[in-house]
Amino acid sequence: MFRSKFQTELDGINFDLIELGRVVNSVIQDCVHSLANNDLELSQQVIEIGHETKAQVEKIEERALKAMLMQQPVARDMRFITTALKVVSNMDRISRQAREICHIVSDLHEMDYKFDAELLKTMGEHAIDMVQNCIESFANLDIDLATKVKHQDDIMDNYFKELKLQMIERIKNKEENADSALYFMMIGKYLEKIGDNSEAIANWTSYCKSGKK
Amino acid sequence: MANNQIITITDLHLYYGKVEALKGINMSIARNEVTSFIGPSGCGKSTLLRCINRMNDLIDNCVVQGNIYINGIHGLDGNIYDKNVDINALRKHIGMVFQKPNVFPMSIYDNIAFGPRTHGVKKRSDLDIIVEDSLKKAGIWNETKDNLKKSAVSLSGGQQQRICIARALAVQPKVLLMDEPTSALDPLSTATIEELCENLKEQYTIVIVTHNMQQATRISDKTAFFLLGEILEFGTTEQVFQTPRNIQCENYITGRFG
Repeated sequence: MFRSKFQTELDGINFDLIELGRVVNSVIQDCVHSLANNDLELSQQVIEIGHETKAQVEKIEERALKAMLMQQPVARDMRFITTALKVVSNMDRISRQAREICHIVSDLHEMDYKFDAELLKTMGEHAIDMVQNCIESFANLDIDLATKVKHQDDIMDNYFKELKLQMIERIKNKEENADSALYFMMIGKYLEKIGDNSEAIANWTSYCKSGKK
Repeated sequence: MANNQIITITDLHLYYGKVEALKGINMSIARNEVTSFIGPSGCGKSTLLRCINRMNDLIDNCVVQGNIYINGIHGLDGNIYDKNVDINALRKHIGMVFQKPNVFPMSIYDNIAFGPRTHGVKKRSDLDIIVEDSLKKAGIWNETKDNLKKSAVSLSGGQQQRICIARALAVQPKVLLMDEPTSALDPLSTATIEELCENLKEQYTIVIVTHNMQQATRISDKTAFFLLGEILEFGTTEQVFQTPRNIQCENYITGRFG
């Protein structure tokens, strides 16, 4: 493979990643809206679209591994391909976690639970913002934005701690909606994990640009 | 000079006639490490390598200015370009292996014993020990121990190169200079020599010129990037190949030019 062909391949991997990022961004937005509005139809759409991302993920992994094999990249090329392999995995996880949330939304719908955890809505909006920012930071190799995502993850962790306390209180007090607490905890945990994966993308973006995470 | 630095080069300029091939080189080479010199053809890496044991003295119109200090080699400490330096002693302590294997047209045994004999070792039993020890260190003892009288010329390229390394080791050098030692060898012989470098650095300091970037990453602790007679980047191999500071170095190692 000549350098120009290799460069074309690197550009292609970058394009595919940004495209996957766009899909993941849309998946997380729909997921949070289906959660907030108890929208069963939208949650089903997320579950289906989420399955489609698998093919995109595999394609990017295959291209990156082939480029490594054929070119044995170093310096910024090596950092980019390493980052691509890591970021694609984090995007895949965000997509899976969004699907898991939508499965819970479906379960809640079947059980006719009322969605009454405002903090989860806040966490959901925060997750949308984090995913958007981390993908944008990767696409533009924007270190400042990557740093912002890292700070946003601390806020997400605090939200989750607060959610836990609220749900424990709900169970302790044997409130009418105590049964839903377990489901909301699980959703909260997935949102917190989405925050972690967004932070990981931000960290790898920093590595790609500067060699330091 | 720091104690772990065996060679320190300061403000070294080299001219071939009017052409300035090295333009003020400053660098230190650490003891018991492998240091790689990389860069495009004609950038000065082999020229600098040859300066370290004054091989360039043999070239007409070649003028060297500046200093190369040796630290910690008995009888050789100081600037190797001082007038009173014993060139034979210098080349005994700083051996060289070239791009193409250059075995002498004589037996394997005599190839290895050649250096020690020149330096006064005459006793057969002493020579036997040196030959065996050198061939073992060069990783070719098992292949040659039953055929020491065989002509070295009849060996394969990879074996001949290891004979050359054994010959260099036979005079107990402290530094081994290698000028593209595997460029004429197949992948298996190359791997053998690379593994050898890893083992030899426990006792020797190795400086190697290579055009093979993967080889530099595999075997060297430090890497220096040369361009047009200057060192533009010098650091740990991990740093140079992961996060080079110099854009021309990055462009070269990633294949964007060169």
